[in-house]
Amino acid sequence: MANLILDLRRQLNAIGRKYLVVTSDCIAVYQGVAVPDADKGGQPFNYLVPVITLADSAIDYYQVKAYSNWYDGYDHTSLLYLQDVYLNWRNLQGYCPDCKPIAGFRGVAQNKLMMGVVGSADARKPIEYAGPGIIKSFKTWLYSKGYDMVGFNVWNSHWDYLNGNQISSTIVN
Amino acid sequence: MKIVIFVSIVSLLFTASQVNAAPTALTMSYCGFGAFYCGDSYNDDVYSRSNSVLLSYALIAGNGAIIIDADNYPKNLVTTWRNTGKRVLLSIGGPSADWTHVYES
Repeated sequence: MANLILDLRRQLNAIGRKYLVVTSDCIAVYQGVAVPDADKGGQPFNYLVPVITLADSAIDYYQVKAYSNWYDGYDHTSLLYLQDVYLNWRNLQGYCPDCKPIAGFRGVAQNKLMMGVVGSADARKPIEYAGPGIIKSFKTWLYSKGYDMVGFNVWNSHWDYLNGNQISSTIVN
Repeated sequence: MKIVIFVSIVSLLFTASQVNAAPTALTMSYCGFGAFYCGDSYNDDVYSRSNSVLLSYALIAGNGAIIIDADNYPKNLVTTWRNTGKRVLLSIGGPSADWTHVYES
């Protein structure tokens, strides 16, 4: 995959400035498991770690799902869950009690990180809908810690619209 | 174990939020195109203050080609979004994409 991204970058550069965003599903960065070999893969968690290490220069943004992957058993609609997702992708100390940041991995830079949230309880599963209150609290937590990131992605506009734009308006305000 | 990756090629993206300011950049996924693609949205339901729209999605063919549902491409909406300052991105993959075809092509 890293070679594909690097090659894609070269191809895109040939046709003008284009941005490349990687969105992950099931292959989340997580400090609690080993990192697979870049040439072998073989496990979902941390599959992207060697890819990020090898191809980060070719990737403009990472759009991380913050609603579906398992993170230390936290309820996906909780503030702790969003915090743990953020900390793991940045490779700061996450909430796994016996884990350490992944050695030799710088994590995703805050100016490349976006977190994906769902636009309503009907967009996917109710247990994946954090809601506006948790997102607002998460933004407050980022600020209080001096952390940052680019912003959020909402899945998707249809369900956010039917939900009265509660999620999108919370993000931009 | 299936690995799903979306790679989006973007004409332009948002500016990074200010350091230590609460992040407010917003990309809305537009689940459009026909029923065999994403198929939730058919009208402009994108929040007006979003920075970018992520067109979801184009598919990957068995020969590695990227397939866009041209018949249902929201051309007028894309023009409207761009005219209002939004960046329009294309998401490639979808929930059942097999990137092996891309690697091997």
